[in-house]
Amino acid sequence: MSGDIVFGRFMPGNSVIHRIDPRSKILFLTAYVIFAFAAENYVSMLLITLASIFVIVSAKIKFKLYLESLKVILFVVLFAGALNIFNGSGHILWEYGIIKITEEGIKNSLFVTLRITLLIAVSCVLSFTTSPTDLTDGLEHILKPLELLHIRVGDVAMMMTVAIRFIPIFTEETNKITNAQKARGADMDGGNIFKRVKAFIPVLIPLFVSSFRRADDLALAMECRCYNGGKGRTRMKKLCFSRVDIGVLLFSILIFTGIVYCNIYF
Amino acid sequence: MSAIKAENLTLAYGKGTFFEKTAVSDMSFAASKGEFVGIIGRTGSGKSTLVQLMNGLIKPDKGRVCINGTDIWEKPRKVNKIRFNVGAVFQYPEYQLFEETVYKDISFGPKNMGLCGDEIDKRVKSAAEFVGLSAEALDRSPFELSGGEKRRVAIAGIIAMDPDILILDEPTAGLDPHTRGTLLNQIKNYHNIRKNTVFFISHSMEDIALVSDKILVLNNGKKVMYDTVGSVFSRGAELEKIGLRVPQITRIMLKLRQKGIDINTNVFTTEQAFDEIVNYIERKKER
Repeated sequence: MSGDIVFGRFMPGNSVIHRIDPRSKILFLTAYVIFAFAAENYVSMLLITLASIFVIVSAKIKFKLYLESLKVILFVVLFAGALNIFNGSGHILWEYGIIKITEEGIKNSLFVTLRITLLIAVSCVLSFTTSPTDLTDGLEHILKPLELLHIRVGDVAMMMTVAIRFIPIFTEETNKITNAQKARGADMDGGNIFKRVKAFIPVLIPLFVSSFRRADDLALAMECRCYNGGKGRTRMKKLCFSRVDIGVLLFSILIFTGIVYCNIYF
Repeated sequence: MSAIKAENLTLAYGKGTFFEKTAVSDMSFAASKGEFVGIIGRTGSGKSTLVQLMNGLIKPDKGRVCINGTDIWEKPRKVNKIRFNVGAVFQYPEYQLFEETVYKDISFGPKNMGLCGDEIDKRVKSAAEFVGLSAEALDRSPFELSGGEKRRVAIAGIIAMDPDILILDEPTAGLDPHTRGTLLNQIKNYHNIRKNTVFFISHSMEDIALVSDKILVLNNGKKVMYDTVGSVFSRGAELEKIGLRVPQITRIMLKLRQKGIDINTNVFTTEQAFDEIVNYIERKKER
């Protein structure tokens, strides 16, 4: 039942991507966002698409899962794409009052849609192939310099770990409570938007109450194990860079130079 | 005609993924009106899934559930009406309470049935009485109550819908022995008066023996036995194999018999055992 949500779920595996250090993956994703927006013509866009496909294929995760993740935000993608059709100047193809569709608009729309789709797909690669613990560990390391600004990175990372850990628990709990209320004849699926929102109250309140209860229990359990903030904590599994991480670096440089080259010469 | 009938029920979770697991496979059974059926099985044997299949919360992959002869999925849009006929109290139901007062929470079900005010009032009060909630408790917030009281409120919430078939999934789990005993009596009492069909899931063989007429034994999503309490508990060795046992008192009686004491071991509750032993002693005196 908790298998309903695919988006952001870790899929254990043993691909090259699984073996990359989480820090490299996070940094690569950040760089990748920049690359995707730096690509500004068809050739560089093609390059970044190919690079993404390469990453997705080497993660060895079922393609269906990506589609399911994309389905969740399909609306956003289409909306951004549709809006951009009307944004642009240059050769006008079709005009109605102040609304006009230009060649550039179509290109913009195409690019925006492609960019968002690729970004989501590659972000999925990160979340599918990295366990939540590794992910927060990696983030904690990357954000370490912020400690100079007196930001308690360790605590923030712990909060993130807890938050991520609670997602499946709450999904399951929501299902349970929904079932219980349905068993009392609550109609969750029918009716207009107001009816639906109202029908959700019997689920929301118990969920709210139980989240406080769980938070309390967890805090107590953590204190029992002598947790008192992130400072000075050591870890059992230390992250370390390996040869694949050098590969990631080279791969990033390759895409970067490729995009710059294509942007200039095509 | 049987009140509820399951035919070849099959359901798997996570179809087509790495996590695929058959929860219920090819299960068929029937219960007639007024029967009290205990369901036993190890954790993960498919008991809770079966409950959800029986009141139409999940659709079976194969097979069907018939209430009074009609398939509950015949009109998929109407399946939520089935739940007024098949009331299910899930595990730890106290976490589903949400209203401001106990009264309002119990009336949630009847309200959803579209009943009128007077009828709702009558049902809430009689349901509260069945589970032993005082009139004063009805005006309190459900969140102020103790765990046991919350449990009663949740059960009353289903009883108030007056279902022909009542399913209770471990209603006594996590309660203290006293509350447990009272609740069990109240459930049995409700069943005796209402004469509906009750399915009762429990890990306590003693509880099952105390209240049930028949027992459905599950293992790995399959029906292993479905028979009267006497016949199921006479197959102790088989039960042991699938991680279950006969009631404690039955084990004692079996031990006594092994020691050469001539008593009937077809005994499943302490009361029966008491009578049997008294009977034995009197027989011995006469000799």
